Parts: sequence; structure tokens; C-alpha cells
Amino acid sequence: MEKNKDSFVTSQDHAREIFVNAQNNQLRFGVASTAEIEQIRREYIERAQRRIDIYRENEQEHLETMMREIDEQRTEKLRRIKVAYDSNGIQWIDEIFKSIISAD
Amino acid sequence: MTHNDGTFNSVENNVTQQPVSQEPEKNVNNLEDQLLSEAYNMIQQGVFDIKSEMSRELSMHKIESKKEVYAEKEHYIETVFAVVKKQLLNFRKSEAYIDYLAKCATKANEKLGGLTRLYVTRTDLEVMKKIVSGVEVKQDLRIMLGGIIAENDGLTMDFSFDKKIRMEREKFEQKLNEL
Repeated sequence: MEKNKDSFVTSQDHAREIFVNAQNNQLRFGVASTAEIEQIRREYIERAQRRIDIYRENEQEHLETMMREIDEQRTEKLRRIKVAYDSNGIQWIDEIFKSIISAD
Repeated sequence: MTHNDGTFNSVENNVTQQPVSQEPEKNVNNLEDQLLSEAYNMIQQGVFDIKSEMSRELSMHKIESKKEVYAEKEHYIETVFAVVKKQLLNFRKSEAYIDYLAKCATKANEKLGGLTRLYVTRTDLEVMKKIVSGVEVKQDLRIMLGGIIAENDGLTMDFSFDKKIRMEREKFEQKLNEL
């Protein structure tokens, strides 16, 4: 979760970075032509998309880690149940049966 | 707003429709701000979409994992209780079962301060009538596996195997959950 937050903040930071660069571009461009605006637009979109792609990559990695943890927990849980049943199954059956036929 | 191909409607409109201003530099600044805002929004939307997608995927994985554990537990529960039910069937054929019915009737009589009616399975009707006297004995279709339900003035005590199996099953499920 903390990692998610960090990635999100990082993306916001990059968006701000684009903003600051653009302010510099404003000084650089002065009066811009349509073609120049198109060029800037493409640049921003590409950069934004790159940031999104990086974010996706990080999140995918994080997701896979969490899924692996879930798988490990499941495997461990199934193992514990099997071990418990193999060692105690007969005793459990006996206890349940005795409890049912008890009139106490 | 952005299209799938990355174009910006509002920007296009500004570029094509905006009248020539007396302050061209200001217009360029406005356009720059707009482009930046779109890029920023694109990132925000992208982040939101990715978070939603990952969260959904993780939830699905958790659910699938829980389902698998649940199915395995159910398998063990069914195995255990299938054996218990078989043992109960054998128990019902024994003398000990008649003792069990008698003990339950006696206990119910004590706890309820008397007995007006006893409910049993159809096959236990005759044997129960021999055990108790002065008490109405009736068949109850809720009882499938054996035992009795005792009644006195609207109060009941349930000694049926069916009820006991349900209770034991709950306890057993709890035990497996704690492993």
C-alpha cells in the first residue's frame, strides 16, 4: 500500500515536472505556431504516457508479489489442514461420535 | 478531453477557432497551461485506472484462493462426518441406542419438569413407546438420523442426532478455521 502511494506521488511529481518544463517552454517559445503547439502537445502526451507505463510496470510487479504471498499463505494453510487431519482425523471422528451419543 | 489517439479536443478547438488576439503571447501561455492540464489529467486518470485494475485483480485472486481453501476444508468435513454418520447408523442397531433414548427421555423429564410428548423417527416409535409410559410418542420428519425431541408445555429439548451433528459440524469447522 505504501509502495502504491509512493508510485502515485511519484507520478504526481512527474506531472508537476512537466508543468515546470512547460513554463520554461513558454519563455522559450514566446509566440508559438500551430505546428509548434502540436509538437509540444505530442511531447507532453508521450511523457505522460511514459510515466503511466512506468507506474503500471511498478504496480504490476507489486501485484505479482502480493499474489505470490497469497499463494504461499494458501499453500501453507492447505498443508496445515492436511497434516492436522492425517495426525488427528481418527481422533476427531471418535470425539465427535462420542459427543453425539452422549446424553449429558 | 483526450481521445484514444491522444488528441485533445479542447486544444484543437482553441488552435482552430481562437480568433487572432492582440496578446498572442498570453494565448500561447493559455494553450500551454491547457496542454499541461490535459497531460496531468491523463496521468491522474492513468494512475486511477491502473490502481482500479490491479485492485480488482488482487481481489479476484484472494477470492479464488479462499475458495480453494474452503473447498479443501469442506472435503475434510464431509469425510469426517460421513464416517460419523456411518457409526451412528451402527449405533442405532445396538442396545446402547435404547439406553441413549431412555437417558435422553429421563434428562428431558428432569429439565422440563415433565413430559407431554416425545418425537422420534418412524423406526423408533415402538421402542420409544416401550421406554416411556403416559407420554405421547409421535413421529417427527425433522429427525432423520435418530434421537429424540422432548416437549413439555411448549418447551422442547432436542436430543436428535440431526441437531447434534449440525452443532458438531459448526464446532469442527471452527476448529479447522483455527488451524
